[in-house]
Amino acid sequence: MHLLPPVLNRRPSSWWLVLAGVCAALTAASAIAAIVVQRQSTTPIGEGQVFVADAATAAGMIAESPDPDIAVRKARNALEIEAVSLLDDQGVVVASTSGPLVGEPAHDQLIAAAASDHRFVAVASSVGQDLLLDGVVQWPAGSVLYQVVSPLDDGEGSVMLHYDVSRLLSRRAQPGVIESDAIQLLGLAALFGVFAAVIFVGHARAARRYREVAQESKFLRSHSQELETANKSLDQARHQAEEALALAEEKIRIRSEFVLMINHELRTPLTSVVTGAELLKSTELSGPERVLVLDAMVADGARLQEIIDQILAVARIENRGLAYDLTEVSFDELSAAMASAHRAGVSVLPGESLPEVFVRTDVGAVGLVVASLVDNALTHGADSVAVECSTRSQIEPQLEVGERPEEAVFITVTDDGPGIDDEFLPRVFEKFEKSSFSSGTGLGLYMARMIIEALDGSLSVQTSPTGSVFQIALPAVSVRQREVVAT
Amino acid sequence: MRRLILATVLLLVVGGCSVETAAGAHYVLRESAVDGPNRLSASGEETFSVENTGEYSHTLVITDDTGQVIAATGLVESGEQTSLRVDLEPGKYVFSCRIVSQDGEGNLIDHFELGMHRTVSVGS
Repeated sequence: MHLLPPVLNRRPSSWWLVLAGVCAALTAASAIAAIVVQRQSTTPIGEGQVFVADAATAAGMIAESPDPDIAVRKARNALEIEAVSLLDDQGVVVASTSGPLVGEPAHDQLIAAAASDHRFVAVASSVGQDLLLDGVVQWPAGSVLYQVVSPLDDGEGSVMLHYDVSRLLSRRAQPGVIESDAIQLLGLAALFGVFAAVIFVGHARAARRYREVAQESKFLRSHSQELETANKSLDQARHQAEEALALAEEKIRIRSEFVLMINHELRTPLTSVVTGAELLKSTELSGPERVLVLDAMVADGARLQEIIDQILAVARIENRGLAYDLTEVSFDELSAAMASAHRAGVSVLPGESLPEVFVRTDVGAVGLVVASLVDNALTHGADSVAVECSTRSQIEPQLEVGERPEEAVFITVTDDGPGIDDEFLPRVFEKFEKSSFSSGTGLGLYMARMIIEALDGSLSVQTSPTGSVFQIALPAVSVRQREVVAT
Repeated sequence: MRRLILATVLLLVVGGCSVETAAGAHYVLRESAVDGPNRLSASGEETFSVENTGEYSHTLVITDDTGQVIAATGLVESGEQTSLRVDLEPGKYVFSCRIVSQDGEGNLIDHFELGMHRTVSVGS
């Protein structure tokens, strides 16, 4: 059952989390790069690269210009430093932007040694004497200078650069300044951070929404099942109510038919009796005629008594139940007892002799049932009826009431009547049920059923248009079982 | 009781930190480091000693946190010792050697980048 719309029915893809993770990683990488850039920009470094580059620039200008004085000035102006000088092999200044230096040897020992050895060296130290630049004392003795000497390419002399150390170092320190590259990297980090946060939060919200909807779906599903169960219960109740209604209607129908039956079955012989009595009273009848009338009255009275006895018997059985005193009789004794049912139109077929087979039953009650089945057959159009005892079932029952014993002895009552309607067959053993064209109370087969069930047997029927077979199954007791019981 | 223990520990920690005055400070220059105290107590103009125990010549340049030079020695040859008179205000300073040279193959030998620098805090 899909209770969710298609979009909400899917869990948010984990790839969004991966993307958020990538953005977070890029954020971290950008931030780290920004920190590295800033640290590199603020970490004090040596000035060697500056000096080498400046010395190369100055040397190039000196090499290009035929006039050393002009060359050193151009170099100083280009480099924007304090002084540029040209030294010979001995470390003596031959040209300088500071005139007073011309002809003077390099003041610093290391500088002088490097100039004479054609080596590069830069030294920041305090000077031992006043240093004049352009005729003015720029650095008195004890001042700190950065002096750089770098050999020229032709190997003839060196170029010497003078730096104000404080100016140089202050320019390079740049404390507290945040590099533009670091700012850009920080911006990139912030951008990736925003992306990561938006994706992560969006995914989290979608996942939470999915969980909520899934829970709602589960809740609805559970309630749907409850509703389904309730519907089933309701259907069952409705079905039971319909069955009860049908049963009630059936009872009403049976009662109505019973009333009709009583009306017909009792009124007819009673009318006959009353009419006969009136006839005897009011007319002059001959002796033989009186005998005929009286015989008819007796027969109708007997019929009335039989009907009333049946009704009372059923009422008594339903009120008190049946209690038989069961005894073991042999199969042969049972067969002999069935012979008592012999009368006109009824044949009792000789069964096989089975003295070792016993039946635990009430022979008298069984005889009544057999007699009832015989009467029922003759009443419903049969010309001949056969009664037979057997240890094997003779029919394939279309209807069977009661519980057939595992080991049974069978008594069959076979007739050649017109058979039982298919529509009526299921109700043939019910109380007050009778076929539409038959007379009677509808209690005969019902009583037979009750008696057989009370004897722990079963009563079944197989019918066709050429006749019907009613079969009684009674619990059998074998010789072996009897021996076991006896020991 | 806990406060007493904490105070004792703090006293021991503070007492364990050596804070020298500039007059008594002694700094040693060598190829890869400037050795000496990291903390100094400011006490006006003082003189401390600088000794070069390295193989080559070095200098000692003192700059503040803005790069301004406060004081510097002259060239201190290997094995020599000199003195430097300074007047340090409270703050952070960098004691470094600012000599750059090239070897025979043209590689720069920057004493600062080789580690010859030390940050020194001067307290009030």
